[in-house]
Amino acid sequence: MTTVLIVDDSAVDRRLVGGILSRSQQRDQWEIVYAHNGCDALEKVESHIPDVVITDMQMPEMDGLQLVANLKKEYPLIPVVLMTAQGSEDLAVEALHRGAASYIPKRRLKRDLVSTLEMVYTASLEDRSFTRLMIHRMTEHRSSFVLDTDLSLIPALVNYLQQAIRGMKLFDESERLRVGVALEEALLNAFYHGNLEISSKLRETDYRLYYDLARARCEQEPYRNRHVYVDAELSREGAVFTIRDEGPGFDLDSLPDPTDPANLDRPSGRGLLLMYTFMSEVRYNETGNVVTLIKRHKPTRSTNGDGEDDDDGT
Amino acid sequence: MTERRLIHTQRRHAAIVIAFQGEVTQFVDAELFGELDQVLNELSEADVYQVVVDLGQLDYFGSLILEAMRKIWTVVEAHGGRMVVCRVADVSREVLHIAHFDTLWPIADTVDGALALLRE
Repeated sequence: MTTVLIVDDSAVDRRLVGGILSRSQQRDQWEIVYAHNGCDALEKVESHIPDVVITDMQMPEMDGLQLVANLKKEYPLIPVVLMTAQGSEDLAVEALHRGAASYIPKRRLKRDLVSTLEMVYTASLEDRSFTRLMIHRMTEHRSSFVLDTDLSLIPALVNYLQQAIRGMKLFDESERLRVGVALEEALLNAFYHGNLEISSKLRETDYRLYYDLARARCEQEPYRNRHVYVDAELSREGAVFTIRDEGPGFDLDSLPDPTDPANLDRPSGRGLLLMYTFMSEVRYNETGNVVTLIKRHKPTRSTNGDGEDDDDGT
Repeated sequence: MTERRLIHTQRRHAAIVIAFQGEVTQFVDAELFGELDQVLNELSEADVYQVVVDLGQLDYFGSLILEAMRKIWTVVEAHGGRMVVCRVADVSREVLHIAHFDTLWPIADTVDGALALLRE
C-alpha cells in the first residue's frame, strides 16, 4: 500500500482528490489520509509517515509553501506534490525551488493525479534506496583534488565534501556546517597565504592592495603554477582532510592571538581560530604548508527498531 | 532599499539595515569588500550611524564576514553610532562567540528587535 496524505483546507477538494484515487484502476494501491492545513499535515506525518504528500497551496495557518519547506527540512525523502490553482504558477515555481517534487494544476487533477503520484513515488523509492546505500553500506569515501589558482572552484569543493558528509550522515547539520567553515578557512589560507604568499598584515593595512596583489600574482610566476592538493577521507570514525599548498609555509607562532582584546580589531588569525575550534584536531607539518583537519565522529543517532538508523528522513 | 548582489541596505527611520545575502561565501571576498565600500559611503552620505546587521540569509559564515562586520563597526564607532546584529543562525552565533565579537554588539532575533535595541 502507498500512503497518500492529502492536504487541503477545502473539504470538497480533499474528497475530490481522494475520490479520484479511490476510483482509479490502482485503487487498492492507495491508503488515503487527510489533513486540513499544513500544521495538521505535520501532525499526521509525525504519527504516520506517508509515502507521498499532495497539498493545496493556499491554506490558513501554514500554506503549501511553508509545508514543503518544513517537510524538506524534517522529512527530506517524502515527495510532495502541489495542487495549483490558475494563476499560481509563480508560487509553484517557488515551491519547486524549495524542494517540491512536482505540481498538478487543479483543473487537470482527474487526468494527471494518478500518473504523477506514481511517478514521484517511484522516484522517491530510488532516492530511498540510494540513501540507504550511502548511510548504511558506504563505509569509506576517499577523494583527492588538485586545484589551480581558480578560487571559484573552492566553494564547489567544499559543497561537494559537505554533501558527501550529509550523504553518509556522518555528522548532524550543525557539525556539518562547522566542518564547512573550517574547510573554507583552511583552503583560503592555502590559496592566499600559502600559494600566493600574501600576508594577512597587508589586509590589515589596505584590503584593496591585498586583493589587487592576489589578482596580480594569479598571473605571475611562480605563483600561478602552484596548486592546492586536497585529500578527503570519510569513514565511520569521522572525517580527515589534508590540504597541501606549494608555498614556503608559515610559522604558526607568528600569528597574534585573535581573542586577545587588544587584537579584536585585527583580521589576522581568526580563520585559524575557527579551524581549531570547529575541528577535533588540527595539525600543521613543520614547514607549515600542509594542514590536516580531523573531525571525529560522535555517534548520537537513534535507531528505528530494525537495527538500522532512520533513513526515511525522520 | 539599495540592492547589490551581496549586500542589501534599507533605511528604517533613523537606522540603516545592512543585510548580507545568501550569495555571500568566503570566496567572493574582493567583490564583497567592493560592495562594502559602497555601503560605508552610503552611511557617510546619509550621515546615519545607527546600524542593524542582518545575517538571516546566511546559514553560516567565517572570517570574511567577521572582517566585513569589523569594518562596519570601525566606521560606526568612529562616528559615535551603535550597531546591533540580528537573525543569527546557530553556527554563525558560535562563530561570533569564538571571535569574541558577541561582546561588541547586542544580538537580536529579528530586525524589529534590533531596531528596538538601537532606540533604547
